This record gives sequence, structure tokens and C-alpha cells, in this order.
Amino acid sequence: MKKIFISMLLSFMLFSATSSANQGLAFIHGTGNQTDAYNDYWTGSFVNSVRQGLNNPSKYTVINCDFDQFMWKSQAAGCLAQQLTTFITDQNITELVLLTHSNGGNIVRWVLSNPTYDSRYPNIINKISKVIAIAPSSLGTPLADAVNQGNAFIRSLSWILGYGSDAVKQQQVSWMNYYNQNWLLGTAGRPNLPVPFKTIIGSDVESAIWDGDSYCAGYQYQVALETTQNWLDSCSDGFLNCSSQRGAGSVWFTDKQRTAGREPLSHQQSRRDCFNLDTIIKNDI
Amino acid sequence: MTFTKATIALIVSAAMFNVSATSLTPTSPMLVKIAEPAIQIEKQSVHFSQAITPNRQLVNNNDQYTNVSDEYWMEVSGKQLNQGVALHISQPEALIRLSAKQTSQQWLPDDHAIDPDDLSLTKNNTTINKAFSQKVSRAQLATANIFPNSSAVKLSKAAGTGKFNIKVTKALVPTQRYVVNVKEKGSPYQQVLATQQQSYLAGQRISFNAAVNKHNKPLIASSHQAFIKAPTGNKQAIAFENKDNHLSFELPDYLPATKPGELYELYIDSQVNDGTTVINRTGKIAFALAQPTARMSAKVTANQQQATISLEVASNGRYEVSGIVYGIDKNNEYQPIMKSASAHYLSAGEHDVALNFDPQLFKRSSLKPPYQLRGIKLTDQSRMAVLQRQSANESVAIADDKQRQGGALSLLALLGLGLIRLAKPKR
Repeated sequence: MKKIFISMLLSFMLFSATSSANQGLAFIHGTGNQTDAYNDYWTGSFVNSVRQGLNNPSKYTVINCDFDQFMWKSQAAGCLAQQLTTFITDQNITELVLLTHSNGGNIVRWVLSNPTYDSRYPNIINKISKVIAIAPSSLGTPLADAVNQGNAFIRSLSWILGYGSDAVKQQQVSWMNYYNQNWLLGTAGRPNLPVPFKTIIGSDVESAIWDGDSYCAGYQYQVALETTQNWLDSCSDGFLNCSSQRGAGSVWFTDKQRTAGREPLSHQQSRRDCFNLDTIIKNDI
Repeated sequence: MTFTKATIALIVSAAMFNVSATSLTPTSPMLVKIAEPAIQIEKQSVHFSQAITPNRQLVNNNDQYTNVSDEYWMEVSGKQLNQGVALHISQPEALIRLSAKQTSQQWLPDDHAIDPDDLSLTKNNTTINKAFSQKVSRAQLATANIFPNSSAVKLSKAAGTGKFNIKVTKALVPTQRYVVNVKEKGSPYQQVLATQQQSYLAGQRISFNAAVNKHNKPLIASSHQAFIKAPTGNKQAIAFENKDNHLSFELPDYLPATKPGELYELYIDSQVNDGTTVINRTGKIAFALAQPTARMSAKVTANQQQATISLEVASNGRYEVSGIVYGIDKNNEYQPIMKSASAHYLSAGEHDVALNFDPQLFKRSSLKPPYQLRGIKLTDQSRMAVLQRQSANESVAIADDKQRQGGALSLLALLGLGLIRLAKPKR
């Protein structure tokens, strides 16, 4: 009887703690200078599905910053810190979940790894309960090196790499190794990040013309990403090797382990409501 | 920005480097006084400690990097592509990417790319039919927004390997520059570049190891060319000496300045013959070159509230000291408890700065005293520069509260600059 009472008491305390927390969710985009990431980077169908996992689904924010810059710049991490601080203050957030895609994971790791760089950082870190990092470019990508081989770039819509931005330079493999060993936490041999950093790994690109799954998030992107896989390992999402996505934090799951129909997530599909990804994340929040 | 000459040693040998990790210690007694970069710099002192996950394996001072390349690239003109460019292919079904290069002097219209249908491949002066198994147009590559102004072809199996000549049949602007990238995925031939560290102070000796391997065994008689590329895009060829398979060269007296946090790159173009097969490879290693704007002096005191570190600062800026606190587990081995960091905005002069610890993390930890502080690091946050590290085999004793109350002089430990060498901590 005593055991049952203690168990009930613990359950009540746990429930009380969870329900009393004022949860918030921030969507943090990847490389690019975003002014309307809700529509241009994530799409409303993805954002509005994922935020249903919150106690109060209205407590969310979509970050818009210039992530064409190096991660430490005021337009990148500084902008992120300001938007998160405003969100935390205005909404009185006590438990913050960050959802990042691609290079957004590196910007967040900069903040988590360098709490003394900016007096706004510690308060943000202390509010974060976890980071869900979708396809983070933690160890960089050989594609960034290839782009920089000849400065062969022009300004374009650039949802993945952009033109020859500082963010592209930063995501070159040997550059990221330097930043990981000297400025960032969470990779092998380095201290852990101060909060859980759970990664979702995209492992392949499918672009069969007869397969309806290849059309989720746009068939033309699948074709393009299958081409860029020629510069990458057999396990990649068309932009990042799986090893890079697994390079920091802990792996939550690799796409096929949980997606509907065991479908892989390309780098384009992993920021869309493809193959139940939105529901999987919603249920984890 | 002018740098003191530093020597880069390139060692081409069968063995990989086996050099113990080095501390980042200024070799020159001279610190430099330089202006603050024109960026927003935090002025408040900030302290932060975080718990280290139990059983996490830390490698102090690990700044190693190994680059493995199965590709090469070169820059050619439109005129050369119209005349034909020689390509050595050592791997069946290699990928060839052609990218029109945009420079500050040469504006590039959006459609300035080579159509794969305008490519012709010859071998021994004979045109190869069905040379390509896959053609990727500018429009297809641009969809991914990764390779604008680019196209690519994949060689067919039937084309095989050897020396080819690739030619563009449509007239190109003769002066337009193009990058030709040959990617030989799955090739047994790999260029391996290795370095023990990627962050240096001006004047430090830098060393790299380079080799071209076949099935992980090095090929002898490789030839190498090296150049340094600054973030501005400026390239400087490096003249090096080759003695007993050791290549060495010196950094130029002048390298263009970097913005804070930007890196220089050392490029190595390698060529080697394996029988009649010619193998080309290109690889690079990025490295940071910092100016010694401050340093830790030889005195550190530590108790369970904080360590006090003496700094000599030559340039105004924001400096962070950080370190990892260790305690003893039930097997009498040291394990990390917390990582602590404190940053202060400092003007030129001598300062004793605090590195604060979190008393709650001591209380929550199952690890016991005597505690140690290891991996002390000094960074210049305003210039994104790593200035100094405690050697991996050194530590500072952290006095427990009783000792502190008794004012024990055993709190003192001397760091880094060679005044006192501490014994290796027991693991």
C-alpha cells in the first residue's frame, strides 16, 4: 500500500512539474538569409502540425535570421539569441524546445558551446530542455568544399548552400573540424553539450519517377539531390553524409527506423511533412 | 597583417605522424598590440559551468585533422577547353564537373555553363562513342542550388581509364575561367593529408604529413605542389625543399588579413605514377593563424569556488579562460565533473581573472576530491583566436574548502610556459 502511495505521489509530482512548465517551441532554419521562414523554409503544414505537440500550441516562434553569415556573427547567433530572448520573455517560457534543420544545428551549437560569448546566452541555455536537430551539418559537407573549389557560384535562391557565403565556407569539412575541436562542443572527444541534442538522420534520396514518394516536397529536388550524392557517401541525404549528421549529440533515429513506409528523408524532405516526420516530432515534444 | 616567418614542414613518408599533442604556447616573448575588430563585442563578464556527462571520454588538446581525397581539380580557360584538356582517369565511371568561375573581375551571366551535349571525349586521338553514362545539365544542378553555372558527366564503364582529352565543341569565351573537377569515387588511390593541429600562433612551426596511398599503402615518388589560399581568394604558391622524402617550406612574409574566425587553407596537388597509371589528387587543410594578443602567466590558484588565472594582455579585447574540473571515482580514477568558462573584457595590462566553478555541480557529483583543473585554455573572443592551451599532461590541484580555510600554499601551480612541469595525472 505504501509503495502504491509513493508511486502515485511521484506520478502526481511528475505530472505537476510537466504541466506547470510553460513550454515553447522554436523552429530554426538552415543556411540562408530568411525573412519568412514559415512559408519559404518550413511551410505552414509542417509548422502547424509539429506545434500541436505543445501544451499550448500557440507558444511557438519561427526564427528569421541571416544564416549566410558565420555562425558567431551578430546577424546569425546574435540574431537568434535576440529572437529567442524576446520569445522567452514575452511568452514567459520556462521550458524551450529548439527544432533545427541543417546548418541551424551549428548556430545553436555555437550558442550552447560559447555561453560566455554573449550575456544573453546563459539565460537561453538555462531555458532549453532539448534540441531536436534534423539533419545537422555537424561535420560539414564535401559539397561545400566542391563549391569553394573555384569560387564558382552566383547568387541564387539558395535554400541549401546559397552562393559563396561565409556559411558555405564554414561548412567545409576541414573548417568544421577546426571549429568542432576549438569552438564547439558535442563531437567525439569533446565535452558534451549542456542540453540534449537529439539528431534525426536522413540516409538516402529516392527519385524514381514511378514512385509517388519521390514527389513529396518536390520531385525536381530529389533528382538534383540524387546527382549531388555522387560527391557523398552511400549513406547521405543528398547534401550531408550520415557521418556528419551523426557527428554531434546523440542519434534519435535514422529516417527509415521510424518514417511511414520506412522511407528515407532527403535533405529537402526533412523539413517538410513527409512520411509522418511531423507527427514523430510532435509526439516527442 | 604581416606574420613572422613560420616554417611548414611537409613530410611525405610511409608512416603517419606519431607526434604527441603539443601545447599552444607562444614561442615569442613578444605579445602584439593590435586594434579591436570593428564588430560588436560583449563587455559584461559572463561565467558559465555545465556538467559533463558521466563516463564521457574527453580528449584534451585534440586539434588533429586528416583529410582524405579521391578527387582533383584544376582551373582552365574557355580557349583551353575548346582546344581540349588532358584528363588522367584512374577509376572507372569517374565523375567530371565543369563549373564556370565567377570572379570579381569577370561577371558571369546566369546561363554561362557548358551543355553536357557539347562535350566530346577522346582517347589516343579516337573519339569515344557513348562516353558518358549520365549527363547532368546546368538546370538540373542548379535546382539543388549547390552548383550554379555547372554541369557534370559520368564516364561510362566502356570508356575505361587512362589518359583522355575532353573538349567543348561549342565556342566558349576564350578568357572565361572554368573549374574542372574529377571525382573518382571508390578509388583505391587516396591522397592523405594529416596535421596534429589546425590552430597556430604567428611564428609557430607548422607541420603536415602528405601521402598518396593505394589501398591504404603509400606510393613512393609522389610529386607535390603546394599553395596557400587566403580567405580573400588570394593564392600564393609555396616553394618547398624535398629531402629524404621530407618536404618543408616557409610561410610567406605577408598573407592577406582574415576576418575574425576565418581560416587560411593549405592546398596540396599531388601526382604519382603507379605503373602506367597516372594519379592526380588535390586536398586541403584549413588552419587558423592567430596573433598573440595575450597570454596566461605562470601562476594559477584554485579552490572549489574559482580558479584565479594571471593574464598578460597586450591588446584590448574580450578574453575567455576555461577548463575542465576532474574528481576521483570509486576506482580511484579521475573523471570529468564540469566544464567551466569565464569571459572578461580586458584592457592592455596585467590582470588576475576569475574562472568560476559551480558549487552545485560539485555537490551533485558522485566524484570525490582531490579535484583537479585540466585543459585550461585562453581564447581571444573578440578576434576568434585560440591563444594558449594547457598541455594535455598537465593539471592544477584544486584545494578543498578545509585547505582553503587553512590558507594552504599548495594551491599554487605553475602552468604552461615551462617554469614548472607537472607530473602526468594518474588515470
